[in-house]
Amino acid sequence: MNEARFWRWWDRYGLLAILGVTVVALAAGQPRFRSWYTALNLLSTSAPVAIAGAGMTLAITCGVFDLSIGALLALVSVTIGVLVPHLGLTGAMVAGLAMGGAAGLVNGLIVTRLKIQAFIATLGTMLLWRGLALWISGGKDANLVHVPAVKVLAHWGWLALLVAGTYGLSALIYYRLPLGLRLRAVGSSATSAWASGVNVNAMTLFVFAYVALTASVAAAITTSQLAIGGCNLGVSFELEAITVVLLGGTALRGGLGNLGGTLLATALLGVMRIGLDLANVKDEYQRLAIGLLLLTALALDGVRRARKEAA
Amino acid sequence: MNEPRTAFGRRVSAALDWRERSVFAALALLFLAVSAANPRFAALSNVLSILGDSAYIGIAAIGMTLCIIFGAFDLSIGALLALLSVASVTWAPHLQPVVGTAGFVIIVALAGAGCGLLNGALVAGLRIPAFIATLGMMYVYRGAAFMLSGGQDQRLDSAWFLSLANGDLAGVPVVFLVFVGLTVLGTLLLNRHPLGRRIQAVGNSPKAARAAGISVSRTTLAVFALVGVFTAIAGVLQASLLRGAQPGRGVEFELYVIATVVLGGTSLDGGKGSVINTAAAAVLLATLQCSFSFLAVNPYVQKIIVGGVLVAAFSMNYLRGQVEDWRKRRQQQRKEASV
Repeated sequence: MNEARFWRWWDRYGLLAILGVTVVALAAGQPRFRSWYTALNLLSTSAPVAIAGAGMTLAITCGVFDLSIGALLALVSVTIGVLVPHLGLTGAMVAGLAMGGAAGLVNGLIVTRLKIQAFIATLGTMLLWRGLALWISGGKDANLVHVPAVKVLAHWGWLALLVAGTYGLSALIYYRLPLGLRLRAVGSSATSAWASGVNVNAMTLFVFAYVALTASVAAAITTSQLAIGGCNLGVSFELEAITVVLLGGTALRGGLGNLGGTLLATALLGVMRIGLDLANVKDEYQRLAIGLLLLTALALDGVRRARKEAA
Repeated sequence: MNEPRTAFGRRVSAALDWRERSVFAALALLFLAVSAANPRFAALSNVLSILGDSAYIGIAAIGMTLCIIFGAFDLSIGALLALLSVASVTWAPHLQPVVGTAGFVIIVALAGAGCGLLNGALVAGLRIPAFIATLGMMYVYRGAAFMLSGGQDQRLDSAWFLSLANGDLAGVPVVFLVFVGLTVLGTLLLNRHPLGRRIQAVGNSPKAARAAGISVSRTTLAVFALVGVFTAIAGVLQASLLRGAQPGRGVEFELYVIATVVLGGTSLDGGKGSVINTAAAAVLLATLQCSFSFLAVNPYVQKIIVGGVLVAAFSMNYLRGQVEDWRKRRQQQRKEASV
């Protein structure tokens, strides 16, 4: 196999290969890894990041970052926690999603109407959502343990359904609908997209609402898993989501997304965490491992670009 | 308005141009308003304590200002702050008797420069975008901080260490003096030193800078090393203030620092910005924080207000443009009406 063909193969299957090797190595080395429990564990720890990662993939493809989703996760969780006694669990979750979508629209309106760059606009709303979450909850987590069926979304069936649903919908938007083409056009060059008749503001609004909705679904799952409406949840969740998106191969400069890559990268980080947990590696080394993995992947890309330029 | 004739006059009038210094105006307004509501706010001791509080984020923000003018971000500084403060607290009892207090601070600053150089090497050497490279290093530094401390909070109560951040000179907190000194240093570096000119040139256009013979990779290394130094100083001062270090400290610190820099009017597009305005923005945020306690604002509402203020401030440029457009249009209409 010559070099160019290798890289082409690597682009498509590299992450899958690493994931496969990791899983096989762990299964061979760790008897306890070979159990259904591992898959369930992976699903329950990775589902929130995976789902918000799908939204973030579309956002970064469209050329915007949303740094507020971690705080939004707390806001939605608190909203659900506060509303459960009044609306019941289902009603509260629907209200939470509505709250999340509205917050996303606010982000979008700030970016499109006040012409602030997405990065700093969402930096501001990050504080807003966190403050709202603290204010609504009075700084106390709402305890939902006694609510019947609160753990419903923690069940693997629901998790699998939500992850599959989010990725199905995102892939449909990205690959099949004209909307996806427009998203990519805006991400590649907002000016050219605008010149060819794409409503850039509408795209921006949509993508902010979408990423906020996925973060709200992640919030509903987390709330259900922990059985609390927590105002301190989701700190640095936005950076985690951005990490899996970029590790998955979505281009930082926009225009080129990779949904499958985001899912694989989330799975890879999840599997690594479980493997390191089973090997009794402490949390601090795990963080180090994630950082090194990300940097290795990026360095590989950098070396390759440098060689391409030299050639 | 008359154009100043001498070069010095032009420089002074540029430095005092109100459009470039609106953050000072906001600071003055806020201060007067809160002082009117509660005269004790304007007490000298309170002002000095506000100035002292602004130093920690402010010092880190000086480095970030250079970085953003250069056209990059450093997302790793929150984790780097934790790592360096843990390291300095862990090693201070061994280092200080040998090298003295000044030597110790210099060693910590050099360690910060080393970590910054590592960031810079990833960006310049491996051509990884700074945003992603420092995102990866964020995990690495955070992991290293936890490893070094064994996940435990580190305490250090030595008198010399506590005196770093808690001392004062004629009533003025030492941290604020350090902050002012570093602000002056940063301003001189940016506006008078060749490196500063290179930073602005690369921030304006890396291509043009390269064509003009500037080594972009060497400038990258220098910028990230500087960010590391400023972060190290902020970290060691904060550790001294809080009598120790926690490996989990400084989560999302980088985002607050970036917000401060942008509040000071530095453009995310790179090439343009001011260290003095960043410093004023840090003081503004500290003043806002302090005024909350004077006005007895619910602590949870405080965050909402800060977020709102940031969004409002970020949209100022656009709003100002709108107002000017509107004014021009009205003048036009008047002219047409008079004709």
